[in-house]
Amino acid sequence: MPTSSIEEWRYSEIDELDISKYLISSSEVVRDCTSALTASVLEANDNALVIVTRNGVVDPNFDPPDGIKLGGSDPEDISHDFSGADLFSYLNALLGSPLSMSIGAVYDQRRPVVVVRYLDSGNPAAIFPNLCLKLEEGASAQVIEVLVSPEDSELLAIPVTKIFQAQGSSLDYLLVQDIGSKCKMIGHQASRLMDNARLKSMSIVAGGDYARLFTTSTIAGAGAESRLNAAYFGSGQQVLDFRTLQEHSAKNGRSELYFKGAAANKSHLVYSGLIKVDKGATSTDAFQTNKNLVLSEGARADSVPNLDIEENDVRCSHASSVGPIDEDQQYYLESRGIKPELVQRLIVGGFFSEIAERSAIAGVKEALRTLAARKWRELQQ
Amino acid sequence: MLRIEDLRAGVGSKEILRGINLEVRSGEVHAIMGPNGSGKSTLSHVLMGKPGYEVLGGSVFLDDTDLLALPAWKRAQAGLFLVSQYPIEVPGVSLEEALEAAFETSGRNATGLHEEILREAASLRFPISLLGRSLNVDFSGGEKKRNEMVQLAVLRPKFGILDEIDSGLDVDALRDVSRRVEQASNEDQLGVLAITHYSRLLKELRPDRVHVLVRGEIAATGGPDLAAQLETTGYAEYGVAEDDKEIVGASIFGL
Repeated sequence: MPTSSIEEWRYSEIDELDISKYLISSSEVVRDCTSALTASVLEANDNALVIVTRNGVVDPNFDPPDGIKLGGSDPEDISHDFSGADLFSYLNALLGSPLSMSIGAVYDQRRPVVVVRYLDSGNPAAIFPNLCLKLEEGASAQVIEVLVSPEDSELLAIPVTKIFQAQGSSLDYLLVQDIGSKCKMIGHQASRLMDNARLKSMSIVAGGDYARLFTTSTIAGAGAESRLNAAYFGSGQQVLDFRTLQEHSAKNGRSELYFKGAAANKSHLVYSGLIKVDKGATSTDAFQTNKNLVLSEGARADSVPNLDIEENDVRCSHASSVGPIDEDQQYYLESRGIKPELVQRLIVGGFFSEIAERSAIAGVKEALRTLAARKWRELQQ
Repeated sequence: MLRIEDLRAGVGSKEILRGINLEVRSGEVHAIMGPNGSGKSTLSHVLMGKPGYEVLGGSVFLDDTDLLALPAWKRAQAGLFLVSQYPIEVPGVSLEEALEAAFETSGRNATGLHEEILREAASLRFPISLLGRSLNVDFSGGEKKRNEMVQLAVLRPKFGILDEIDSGLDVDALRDVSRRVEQASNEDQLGVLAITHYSRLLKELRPDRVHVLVRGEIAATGGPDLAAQLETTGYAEYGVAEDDKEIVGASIFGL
C-alpha cells in the first residue's frame, strides 16, 4: 500500500484507508438511484444511447446500435501504454468487470452515449467499474459516464476509464460523480490521443467521503489536442483529491487543463498536476490552471502545479490560485444593491458556470448550477 | 437630494477628504473637477461605502436616509448608484443575473426585466451579444461604461455618481452615455455627481454646477463657465503644479 509520505499521495487520505474492511462482492441486488445532479444531465440527453451497469456489470439485455461494438475485455491496442497506472488500477484490471466499447466513424454522433454506473452493496464492498473506450479513426462522439450510489451504502469505488483515440477522432467526454457520503473513490481516467485527435473532457465531482481522481492524458500522435476540465465542490468533511498528468510525447500537440474547485465547511481540496514534455515533442503548447475558492474558515485547499520539460521549442505555463471570494467582485455587486448572501451565491455560481462553457455536452451548465446550489445549502447549515 | 456636510474621510491615518460640503438636488447635474490626488475617487468610494475607507466625520444624506450608517448594498437600495471608473470582472455572472439579484433584494417585480435590458442595451448601443456573457470580462473600455449605464438605466436610482466616466471612452460612447444621463435627469429626476479630471466630459454632459476639488476641499464653485475657465488656466491658481495644467490642456487638443 502507498502512504502519504510519497509525493503522489501527499495530502491524501491514504493512511486512513483500511482496505481490508471492504469485501470484493458484486453479487448483490443493486438499487438504481438518482440525484438532482445526475438527473439534470440525463434529462438534457434524453435522446442518448444509455448503457446501464450495476457494480460494473453491463445489463445483459443491452443491444448496441450500428457503429458501436461492445466487448468483454480490453481491445488489444488500448490495453498498453497508458500512463500513471498504480496499485489501484492494477486491482481494477484484476478484479473489475471490463466494459469495452469501440465507436466507429459511422456512429451517429448526435446521439450521446451514456454509461450509467449504479454502485451499491449492503455491506462494505470494493467495486471496480471499468471502461475501455476506443474511438476509431475519424470517429466522433459524446460519451457521458455517471457514477452514483445510494446514500447508505459503504463502498470503496475504484473506477478506471481508459480512452484511446485513433487518428482524427474527436470525443466530448463527461464524468458525473455523485456517490454517497459513506463512499470512498480512488479513480483513474486515462486518455491516449493519436495524430490530430481531439479530446474535450469535463469531470464533475460532487460526492464521496474521500474522492480521488487521477487524470492522465497522453499526446501520442502529432497535432493532437487534449482539453481537460474539472469542477468540484467539497462540503462537510469531504476530501476531494485531484492528480493530473499531461504528457506530450509527440510534436505539435496541445493540452489545456482547467480544474476549478470550491471548498465549504471543513472540506479539503487537493490538486497536484504535472506537465511532462518528452524529448522530441517540439512545438508543444501545454497549459495548466487550477483555481480554488475557499468559502469557510475550516475549509482548505492545496494546489501544487509542476512542469517537467525536456524540449526547448515549447510553450508551457501553469497557474494556480487559492483564496476566498474576491473582495472587489463582492463590493462591485453589492454596490448594485444586491445583498451580501446573494452576492456570494452569484459569485460562487459564476465560478462554476464559467467552466461549463468548456464542454459541448448538453446539461453541463445545469448540472453545475445544481451542484453549486446544493453545496451552497450545505454551507448555510 | 444628496446632502454632504463637512465630510472628512481617509485611508488608514491619512485624511484625504478634509471637510466637503455639497448639495445636489434631484434632477441636477453637478461636476466635481480636480487634479490628480485631490480626493475625487476617494469621494466616490466613501459615498458608496467601499471597505477600506474610513469616515472621520460629517454626514451624507440621500433625502432622509443617513447613508454613512449603511453598508454599500443598502446605500444602493436607498437609491445611490456608482458608475465605476474601473468596473470589476465577475466571471460567470451575467448582467441579467446581477440585475435579477438586485431586484430580488429589493422585492421589485422582475417581470419584463429581460425586455427592459434589451431596450436599454439597444439605446446605449451596448452589444446584445455581450448580455449573456460574464460581466465586464473581455469588454472594451467603452463597453464597460455602456454596461454600467445599462445597469443605471434599469435600476433607476435616485442619484448617480459618475466616477471618471470619460476615462477609456471614445467620443461616440461619451455622447451616448451623456445623453442617457441627461434623459434620466430630465425624466426620472436623477441627481448626478460627475467626477472628472478633464473638461471634455462637460462639453457633452452639461452640468448645472461645477465644483473644484483641491487637496480634499471644495476650492471653488460656479456655473459651467468655471469648467471653461479651468481649460485655459488649469489648476494652477489653486496652487497645483504646472503638470496638471498641461494635462487639462492636452485633453482639449488631444481628444
